[in-house]
Amino acid sequence: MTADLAQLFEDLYPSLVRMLYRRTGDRDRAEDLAQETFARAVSAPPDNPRPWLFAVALNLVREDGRKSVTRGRRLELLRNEQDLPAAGPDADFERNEDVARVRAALAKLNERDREALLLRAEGFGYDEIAVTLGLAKGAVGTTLARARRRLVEAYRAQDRGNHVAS
Amino acid sequence: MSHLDEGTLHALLDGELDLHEVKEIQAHIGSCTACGTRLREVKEFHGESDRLVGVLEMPTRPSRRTALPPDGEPDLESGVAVEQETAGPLRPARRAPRTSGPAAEPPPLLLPENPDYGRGGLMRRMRWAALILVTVGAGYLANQMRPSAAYQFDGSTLSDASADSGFGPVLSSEEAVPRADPDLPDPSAATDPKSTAVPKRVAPRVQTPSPPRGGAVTARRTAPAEKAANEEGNPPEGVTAVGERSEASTDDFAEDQPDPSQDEADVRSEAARALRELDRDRQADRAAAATAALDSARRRDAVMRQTAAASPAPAPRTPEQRAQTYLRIGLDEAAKQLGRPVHVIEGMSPLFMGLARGGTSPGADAARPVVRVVYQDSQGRLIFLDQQRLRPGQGTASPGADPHWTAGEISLHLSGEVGVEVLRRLRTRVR
Repeated sequence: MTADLAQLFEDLYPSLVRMLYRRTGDRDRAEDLAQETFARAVSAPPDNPRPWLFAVALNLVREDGRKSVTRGRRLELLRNEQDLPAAGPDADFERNEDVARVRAALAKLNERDREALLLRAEGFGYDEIAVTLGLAKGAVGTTLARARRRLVEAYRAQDRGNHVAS
Repeated sequence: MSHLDEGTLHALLDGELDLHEVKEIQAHIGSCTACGTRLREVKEFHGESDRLVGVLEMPTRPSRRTALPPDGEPDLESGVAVEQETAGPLRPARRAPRTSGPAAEPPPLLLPENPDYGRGGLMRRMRWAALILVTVGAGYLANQMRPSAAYQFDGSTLSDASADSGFGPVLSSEEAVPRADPDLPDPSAATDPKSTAVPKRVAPRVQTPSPPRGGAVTARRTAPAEKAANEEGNPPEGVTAVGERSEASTDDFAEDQPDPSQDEADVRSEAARALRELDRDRQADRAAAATAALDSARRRDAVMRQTAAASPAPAPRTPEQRAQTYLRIGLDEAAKQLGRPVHVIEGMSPLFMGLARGGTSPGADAARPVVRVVYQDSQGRLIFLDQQRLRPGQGTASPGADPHWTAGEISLHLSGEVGVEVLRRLRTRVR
């Protein structure tokens, strides 16, 4: 690994793992995928590293998801991590509930909308999102608008469902 | 201007439009109630979705590879956990790259715990291994040479290995071949009288076909060989010194061995062949040792290269890391956090805005995030203008030259990677 890639690793690894964690809901898997992404960068150093790394990582998530299905493993998008920050039993419970609801809402988005949203959360500009996802720059705003609206609506729909059930 | 679509409004809120477009949109919204209503709705979705995504923070347990910083604590008020630094020292990937890298690149290696490994320690081990290998190989070859140098005479097999030297013939390949001048005596026979004793009826190992004095014999019988000869019935008195050999014993020898020169040539050629094998094996051993040393050097270089690549930079490098912001926000979100427009430094363009923990800004409420407007000067140094809405009852700082002051309901703090004097000058330009 060259010094440039080492610096790239230093700069982008946390962001990449965080995005992958939000996408997969599994920290270990996120770290594995991030490692695999950087391993590929070692063998073929990219010119535009940030979009390249995130695009490769998202492709790996999709591939990994397909393999998981064929192996009969369930996707872990809705998995509830047991090791969330400990802030007391009540706060812990509420937080876990909230995380699960957000994950469920995120799962209702289509792939592109979800990825655009997660990339934006990592500070990607519209240019970078367009490059990473292969979109026209002019379509990024519309994609994000749709993604945000659907996410909020899906989240609120669960709240309404919970209230009706209770 | 037609009505604004949602995508444009989101781009506006994300700060992705240029100044010209922003002015046009502002002018339109000022005159179009429908778009104004839509903008408020979009703001709501924008802020809410950012909050929801922020809920999905990494769990705080230590990573399998990295350790979390001790001060990483969740920000419970905003519902957004503080960003955890997950990048530890670079270690080799646990999996080898799937694609084949450049041929010159060694495969990823696990870094040993012992930092001395791969330097002196490894070389010492390799030296010992090579030494043992050569010693064992040489001993084995010497052992192999014994039967090859033995020859049969008169129905009894005698070992003619040069056991006195311990390591077989000290003769080189050239020495083992018959001399061109048979009259020349072997200097070794002259200098070592003990070794000149040969048994009767035993052909000397190296003997000229017709020695003028009967003493040009280079074969050396040793104690084990003599013992073997005694066991085979050869009487001790049959052993005579070469220098004392009589004509009769020479005749005896001639009778028992019709063609001694032929046997001698056989022995010599046999010895030469064995020596050549020994030389070849020695060279192979040396080549193996050299190859092993080369491999170890390559591995050591690879480890050193990876160690150099893995050495973490002491300071965070990205502006976000330097500014200690955990979430980038747009102008609108910042205004929402503060309940009023954001303060800026006149004449400077912000690099970005973000949320930072309150604890990182002196004078701010540590339980709540601060809005941090980050600037960069011409020398690349960052300047932070922290802003936080005051709560009722929260202490306010008196205005003045201090980098911490209040303006209305907003607590401000100016800091950065520049000197105090620069901050003092910038303080007067905050609007």
